This record gives sequence, C-alpha cells and structure tokens, in this order.
Amino acid sequence: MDKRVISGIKLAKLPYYVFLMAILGVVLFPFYFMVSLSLQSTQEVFSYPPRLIPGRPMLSNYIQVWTTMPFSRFMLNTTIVASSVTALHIFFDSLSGYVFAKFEFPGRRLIFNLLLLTLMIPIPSRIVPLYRICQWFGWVNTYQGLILPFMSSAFGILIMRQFIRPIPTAIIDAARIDGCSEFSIFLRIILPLCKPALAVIAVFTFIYQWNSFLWPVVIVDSELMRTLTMAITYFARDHWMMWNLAAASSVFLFLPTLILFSILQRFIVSGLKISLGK
Amino acid sequence: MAAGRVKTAYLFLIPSICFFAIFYYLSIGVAVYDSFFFKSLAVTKQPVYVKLGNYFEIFQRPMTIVSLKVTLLFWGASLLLLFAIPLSLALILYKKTKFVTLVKIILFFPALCSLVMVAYSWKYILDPRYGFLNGVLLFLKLPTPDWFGPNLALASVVIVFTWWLMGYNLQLFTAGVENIPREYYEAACLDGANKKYYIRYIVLPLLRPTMVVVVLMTVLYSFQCYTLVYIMTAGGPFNRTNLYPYAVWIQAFAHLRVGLASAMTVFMASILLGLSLILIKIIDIRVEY
Repeated sequence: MDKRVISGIKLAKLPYYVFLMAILGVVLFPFYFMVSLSLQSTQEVFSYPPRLIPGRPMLSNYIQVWTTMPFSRFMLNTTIVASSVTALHIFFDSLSGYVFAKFEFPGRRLIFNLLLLTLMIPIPSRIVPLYRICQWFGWVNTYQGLILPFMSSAFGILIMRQFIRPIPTAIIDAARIDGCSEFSIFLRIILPLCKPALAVIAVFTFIYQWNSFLWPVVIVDSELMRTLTMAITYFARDHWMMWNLAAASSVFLFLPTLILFSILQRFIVSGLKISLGK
Repeated sequence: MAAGRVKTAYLFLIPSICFFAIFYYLSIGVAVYDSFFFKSLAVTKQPVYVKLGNYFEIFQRPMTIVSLKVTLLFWGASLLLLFAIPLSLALILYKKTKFVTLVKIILFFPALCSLVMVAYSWKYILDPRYGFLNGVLLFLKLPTPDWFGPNLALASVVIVFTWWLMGYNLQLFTAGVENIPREYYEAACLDGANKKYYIRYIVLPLLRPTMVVVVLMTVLYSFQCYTLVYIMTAGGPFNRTNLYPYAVWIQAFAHLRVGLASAMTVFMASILLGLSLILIKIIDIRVEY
C-alpha cells in the first residue's frame, strides 16, 4: 500500500531538482526574510537596497516586543480563544457527526440538508449580522464573542459523519446491551476510535483560529482583549512601520503553529486520506 | 428502545441545532431585516425604514460594478493557479521518499501563517520603492514595475494568495492520489498502458471527488483574502483591488452603514447560494463513474 506507484511526468533528474529548489526558494524566502528583518536595527530596516543579512543581530527586538506592549496578554488571549474553539469543535462536531452517522430519526434529512446549506454561507457574508447579534448579546469585547460564533462547522460534522459511518454498529449495540448509557457509548467507544479524524479537525481549527484576524478586529476594541494577529498591526503607523518589531512578533505568532504542525504532521495526510475517501 | 434512541438523537443534536440556528440562520435573518433600513452601527441613531433603498444604492454605485469585476477576476485567476499548480506538483511528487515528504512539509509552511503576517512580509518584499524584489531587479538592470500600481496590484494579491494556499491544496491532492488503490496501476500496466495514459484515464477521473473538495476549500478560503487587501492595498489604487467582501467590510465598519452593508451581504449570499446550487447539480452528474 505505501509504496507509491503513480508516475508523474517523466523528467530527467537535473531539471526536476532545479525546479523543486526554485519552488522551495520562493516558498522559504519570505520566512528567511522575516527572521532576518526581526534581527535588524531600525536603520538597517530602512536602508536601500534592503539587507539580506543583519549587520549585528539585534536579539533585543524580541525583548522589545514584550516590553512595548502587553504582548503576554495578547498571547494569552489568542491561546484561550484558539484552544477553546478547538475543544468545542472536537466535542460538538463528533457528537453531531455520530448522530447523523448512526441514528435514524424523523427530520434527519431535513436537518442534515439545512446543515449542508450553511457551507455556502462563508464568514464575510455573515460578519455584519454576526456583529449585530453579538452586540445584542452583549458579547463585544468578550471571550464569548470571540469563541462561541465559531464553536462548530458543517465541514467538521461532515468529516466526522464520514469517519464514523464505517464503524460497525454491532459494537454500539453490544455496549447498549451491556447497559452502557448513550452518552458514555459516545464518550468511551466512538470518540477514542475517531482520533485520526479529530487530529485533522483539531489542527486545522487551531491554526485557523490562532491566525484569525478579521473577526477579532471587528469584535474587539479594548486593548486587553486584543489577539496576537492584531498586535502585529500595532507596529504600523500611518506612513511608517516598525518592520523589525513586526517581524519579531510574527516569529512569535508563527512558532506555535509550526511546532503543532510538526508534531501532528503524520496524522494530517492519513486523516485527510480517510476524510476524502468514500 | 427505538423511541428512546430517537430522543437521544434529538438530545445530542440540540447544541448544534441552536448553534447553526443562531449564528447562521438568524444572522441571515438579521441581515435581510437590516437591509431595509437606513441604519448606523452607532446604537444611538434611530434606524429609518427605506424599503429597497439600500439595494438601489448598491447598483447606483459605479464602485459596486468595479468591485464585482475585480472579485470575479480574483476568483478566476486564483482558482486556476491554486488548482493547476498543486495538482501538477502532486503528480510530480508521487514518490514517498524522505526528500519528497520534506518538500511537501515545507510547501505547507505558508498555510500555517496568519494572512496578517503574509501580507506584511510581501508588502515589504514587493514595495515598489524600497522593496527587496525591485532592489534585485534594479541590480540586474531590469525594469522595476510598480507592484502595487493600478495594473499589477490585483496580480500581486493573487500571487500572494496562491503562495499562501498552495501547500494546503497540495496536501489535499496528495491524499487523493494516495487513496487510489495500487491494483489499478498494476491492472493498467498489464493492459499495456503507459504512464501518460494512466494519469489521463485513471488518475484524473478518480481524483474528481478530491477536485471538488479542493475547489470548495479554495473558494471558502478565498474569502479570507480580504485580510490581504486590508493590509497590502486597502482596496486601491482606484479600487483595482477592492474585492467585494472588503467593500462590504468598509461600508459596515469604516463608514458604519449597517443597512447598506447588510443589503450588500444579502446580495452576495444570494449569488453564492445560486452558484453553489449550480455547482452541486454539476457535481452530482460528474461524480458518478
């Protein structure tokens, strides 16, 4: 199974590697540039032509980011929001996915179709009314306002349903006969079997929320509720930008997602494979 | 027993039903309702009922037509790039060697970044006067185009967006390619098929469900592009990058015109709904093989 057999366009070895290196270069260059910028002094940032290598690495930029603004608070806000949304996603996506995969009940088709319909309503076409609803609930500038509108998604439920369907119903029935309650069947039998799919949902939800920008910009206006992505825009003044500090905070923004991805990367392809399969 | 199970099913679904009812269906209702009023985001001002006034205003603004045009161009170009490049890469990088796996991981890095970060780094690289790219071009005695000028600004946004999402789509296509059973290849070989033939008649047709997911995800993520526009170009120059979602955002949160923004939202949502219904029809026919 794991030996790949599909053959691509035939290329003599050398152009193949040159091509790959070119693509890798284009992809990696902005990252290199970000790190380099984050180590430059203010004069170097505005020198022309731009510098590729900082003259004397200014590690102090990284400290300055933490001292010039409540950076740790922003970090905390982002962490709270991204992990709560991820936890809620994991729980509610799999719960609903389980119901749609294994239960028969009147109105099932209707509810499922109404759910699918929400896939066609992306955030930007909801952002204005969503703000109005949160204003109405008194959720402006709160964690609820940042978290609850994103606690589930039709896409996640769909993936979970797809994943749970092939699990033999006999296991569930056996547990029922043994007197297991419906909720503990879900918690103790279904959830542990779903780990690969849950890993996919967790990684993508976490990264998405960690990096989310437009909703926080809309719902937050007090300084203490700001998230990390908003912190970067802090360094932009009207016509003048503290590029080195913006770059240093970008490094702090990027590292956690990089670490998370490196740890879970094995699960992602296998989980995607299962989710895409029929 | 069966009745108990029905009750359990409803009980388990209650949180999700509430969630989707409030944050999706109610929000559409609120948008439709607001779209009939002249209304400010500031709570103190009284809304005035203007019937279809906001909808008329949308079409009277020349800016709307421009931003619709720009949005279609953006969609067309980025869908094309984000479909063709990852698909060809997935077909070229089919081997499962350590090197290929590493390449794929690195290609995924951009998708891990926040668009805020992406927008700022590329703004610095592409800046027409002080940017890195034009610095290199100048050194090589090549022309130094204005990357954020009227002609190239949209192209720049498309390129940065492609840079961001390419690795993500590559992962999807990789998963799709790896899902094709090995036996198909062996059978094709026994029948004397060459590799080109195998890709054209076996791999590509079997990738159709993956392709649908890729298109869907790309369209969904393309709505995020307004972060790029917000930071890199602010819709300019001359509205050349004034993507429709960004225009709505500006009306609501910069000009505080909730009524007009809601009408624009309803208009966008109906177009999307129509498009996706058509898409579903097309997919239904094509997925059967």
